[in-house]
Amino acid sequence: MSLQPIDSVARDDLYEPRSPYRRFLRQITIAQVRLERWLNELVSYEQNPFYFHGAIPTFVFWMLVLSGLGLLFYYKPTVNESYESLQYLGIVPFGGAIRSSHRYTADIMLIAVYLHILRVYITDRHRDYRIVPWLTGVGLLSLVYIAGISGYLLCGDERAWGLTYQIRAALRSVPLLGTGLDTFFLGGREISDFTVVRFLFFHIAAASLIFWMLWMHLLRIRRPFLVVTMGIGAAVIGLTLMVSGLWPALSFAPVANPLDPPAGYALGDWVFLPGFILLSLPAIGPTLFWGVTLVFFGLLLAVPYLLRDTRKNIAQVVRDKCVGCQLCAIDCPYAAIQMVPVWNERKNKPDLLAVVYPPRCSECGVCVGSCDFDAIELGSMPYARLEEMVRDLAPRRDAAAAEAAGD
Amino acid sequence: MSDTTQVEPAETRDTAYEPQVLALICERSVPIAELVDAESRLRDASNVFVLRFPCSGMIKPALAQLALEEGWDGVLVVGCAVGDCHFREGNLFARERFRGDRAPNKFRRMDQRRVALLWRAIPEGDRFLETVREFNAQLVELGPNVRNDDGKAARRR
Ligand code: HEM
Ligand code: SF4
Ligand code: SF4
Repeated sequence: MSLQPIDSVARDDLYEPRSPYRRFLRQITIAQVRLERWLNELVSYEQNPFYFHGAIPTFVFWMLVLSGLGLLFYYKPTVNESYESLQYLGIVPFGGAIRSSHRYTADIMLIAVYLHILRVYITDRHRDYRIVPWLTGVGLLSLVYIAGISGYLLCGDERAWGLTYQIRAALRSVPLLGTGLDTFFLGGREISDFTVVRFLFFHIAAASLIFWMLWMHLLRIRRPFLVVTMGIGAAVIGLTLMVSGLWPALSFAPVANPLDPPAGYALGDWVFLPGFILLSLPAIGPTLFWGVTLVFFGLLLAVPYLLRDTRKNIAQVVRDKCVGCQLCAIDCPYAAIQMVPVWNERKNKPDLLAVVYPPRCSECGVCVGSCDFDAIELGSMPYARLEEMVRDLAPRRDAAAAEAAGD
Repeated sequence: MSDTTQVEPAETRDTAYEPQVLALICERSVPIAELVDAESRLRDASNVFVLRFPCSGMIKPALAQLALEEGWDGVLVVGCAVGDCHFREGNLFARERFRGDRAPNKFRRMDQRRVALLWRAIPEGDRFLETVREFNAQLVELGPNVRNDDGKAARRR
């Protein structure tokens, strides 16, 4: 039987995808790689924003936290003063710029997160051992939405209270829990100053939870790429300042009555509020709104389960050979290897032993490349030592060469 | 050893000598299945044998060194575009190991001119073959890998 090509490990059907869905994923992966390679030619691989798909949202998030802290100095969370306190920013040096950049970095963050989702999905980096990053990612996405939408609520203008009206209507339509949710949302049965404090709490709590969720997001990722290059950082800041200069973020008109329905939305609100813009159309009721929202997040949660690989190449440690040098545990990109102490009877002291946690293992073989003692192998490696594979090839090569010379 | 080999094409050269090349290739980089024949040799360059890995991060310098000792005239290590490893860091590690910046590495005992690292993505089969031809030309220039009495390649440097 001819081996073609000679595999260091037996693999699932990467080249001849069996199912149509697998074939589809493979095709969009190739299209994406082509796009990224083209961009590499333009900006070099070190500056390719696609390679910073996770670092860009992280960077933008830090920008948001900083500008948000700036706004916190001036913001007054009451029904009557919130609007005025934001207008006052127009007089404070850089106040308007900080407000605008807080507003637009939020938009940029959401867009960057969607591009991040698209990239990890398109390049097939979204399933199996990456399930923890994906599921916590869906949590992050909802937190970004909560922080963004509650940010709109803080402005105290027509739009803020119109949005409040819509959210209350949507909450009240929930069976059984409706009134309770409404009271929770308002911080009381009526709109009061406590309501604005509660909105501020939602906003800051969601932002803080993003830190915690991000920590979980990256738990199984060794050395995550969290830092953008100077070039990309400058581009993001430049974009923010440019948009802020062209269309400064301003409040809508002050509200006549906080109980009024929305008077309308601006074009830029489509980034965070498409659901609410559509909900303000007469044809769309709260049921459809909730339905679409739940289906969207349900689909996001289901996506990684659409396709699963058979797991035949999980790394295995050969206990007798492992000397406990830790190189594999350091190198494993998905933190699948832990070093555990094992009692050594002969030396009467503990040794370290590498142990693989199978669900985390990506079957990449990086650990095989790290181990200088051939103490770690992948499930279907045809030889315990890759070296033997290379040795076995030499006679085949010489036979082929002899044949070629004979011709 | 370099990330991409750059050699002027040779017009007149001893065509009798054909270097034997071992290519260690990440299966997510160039589309190997389309490029090899039933003997696991490149269709367009039958002197190149292909060994397929799940990730270039699995390829350690010791393997390339062994291949040279086993009489291969050249070793090609191929991974995905740097920055785009499916497993995040595999090709970065491969590059660091072959440059001698990351353990384990034994690269100082290898003839660097006979080992080339290449970063080529899935749609770049043609560019890959082009570099293979350049690498071949470079190896022809170098001449056969010198072997000792026991048939093993001499260790250089
Ligand atoms: C606040 C928003 C988010 C931030 C700041 C963020 C950040 C990051 C970072 C820094 C990484 C590591 C990238 C690397 O080093 O290779 C990462 C990986 C990942 N993220 Fe996110 N993320 C966010 C939202 C999401 C969402 C919404 C999803 C999907 C629903 C998601 C799915 C993933 C997956 C699957 C990985 C693993 C990729 C891999 O293993 O190559 N993330 N994220
Ligand atoms: S690299 Fe090898 S020897 Fe070192 S800890 Fe890992 S398995 Fe053990
Ligand atoms: S194959 Fe090794 S390096 Fe790769 S994820 Fe599994 S344990 Fe980690």
